[in-house]
Amino acid sequence: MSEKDLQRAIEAMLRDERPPHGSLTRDEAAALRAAARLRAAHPGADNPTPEFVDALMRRLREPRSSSTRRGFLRGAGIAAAAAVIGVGADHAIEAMTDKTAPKPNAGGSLVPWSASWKPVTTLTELASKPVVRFSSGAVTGFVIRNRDTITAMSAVCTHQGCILDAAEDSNRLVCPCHSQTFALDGSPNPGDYYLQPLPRIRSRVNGDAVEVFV
Amino acid sequence: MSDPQSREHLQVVAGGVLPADDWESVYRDHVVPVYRFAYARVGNRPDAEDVTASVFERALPRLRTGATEAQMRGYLFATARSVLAEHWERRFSVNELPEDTANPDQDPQPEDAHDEWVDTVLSGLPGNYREVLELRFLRGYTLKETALAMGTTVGNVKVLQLRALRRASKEVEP
Repeated sequence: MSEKDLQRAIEAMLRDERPPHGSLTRDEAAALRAAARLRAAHPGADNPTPEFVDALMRRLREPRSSSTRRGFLRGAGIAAAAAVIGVGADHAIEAMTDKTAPKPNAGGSLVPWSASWKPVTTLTELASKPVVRFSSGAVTGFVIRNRDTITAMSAVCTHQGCILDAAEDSNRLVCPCHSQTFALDGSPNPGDYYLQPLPRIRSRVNGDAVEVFV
Repeated sequence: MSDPQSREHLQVVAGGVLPADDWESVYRDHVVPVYRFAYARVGNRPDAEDVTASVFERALPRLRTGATEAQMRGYLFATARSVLAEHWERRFSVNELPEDTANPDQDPQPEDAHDEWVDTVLSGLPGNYREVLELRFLRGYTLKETALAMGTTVGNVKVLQLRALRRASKEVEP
């Protein structure tokens, strides 16, 4: 990061705003951490607003099942939980304690406990259109073809739960609500929000049909 | 990267999933300390809010009845360190973890405690470095006000405060 960019990052902190993205050396990171710590020493600066505390409480309190669904989604965040309905709480709890479960910070996978393979698109369609959105039961997702590889993932933005669109040139997924974008591998592009990647959905090819496990 | 969820000693908590009433009280008891812990490591409100939300979203569904207060607190802060490390990596491509993120067993300082680090660092700095950091960070002066107070230009204040921060972080790792 240039000296100017580093100064900009510091000024952003002093305005209580997010510093812009950038690549920091070890020394620069240490300087910025020092800035954060000093900033926190400003009287009252590190008190959360009551609005934030209440709003987060409400989000976390959403019907009891949604927190078990969060576990089921393995860290995909509250928003992604909106993608799933009707998951038995018992099973979700098992999923949470499953030692083989993916790390919760890895974006997670959508692997329902009572699900079946459902055809949602075809290789023919994917040949001309590399990103196909589908809705199957409770799940809205994308099937994405990248050369010879096909993957499926949730189409629910991990920010506030809006349904993503494919960009016109099909090179990324765009949230209509806050302009957040995701790469075709489901990872969030740098933006204003700190987001989880889109959870993957199991997919397979069966003849010409592309099926997802939902 | 630190992955608190995989640490058995934090997961080994007998009993079922925490009932809603219980985790609401866990939330109420810890949201402010977790937020302050995050704030002192990101330095701004929107990021501190995001980090705090991620911590509770991840940790609450994993807490079990029967967990002691210390276990819950330990788990929440271990999760916070992990979320913060990811935050720094995403925002600034920083892989190397700062000391307290790397060391999961170090207890965070009490949230209401005055931050001794700040005093130690400021007292070790040359006068003009200390002054610029005090005015801008502790007293919230604008660039212009600081320039006026120090009898210099806005450009100089920017340069000076960056040098002061670099020096401060070398004296004592934040």
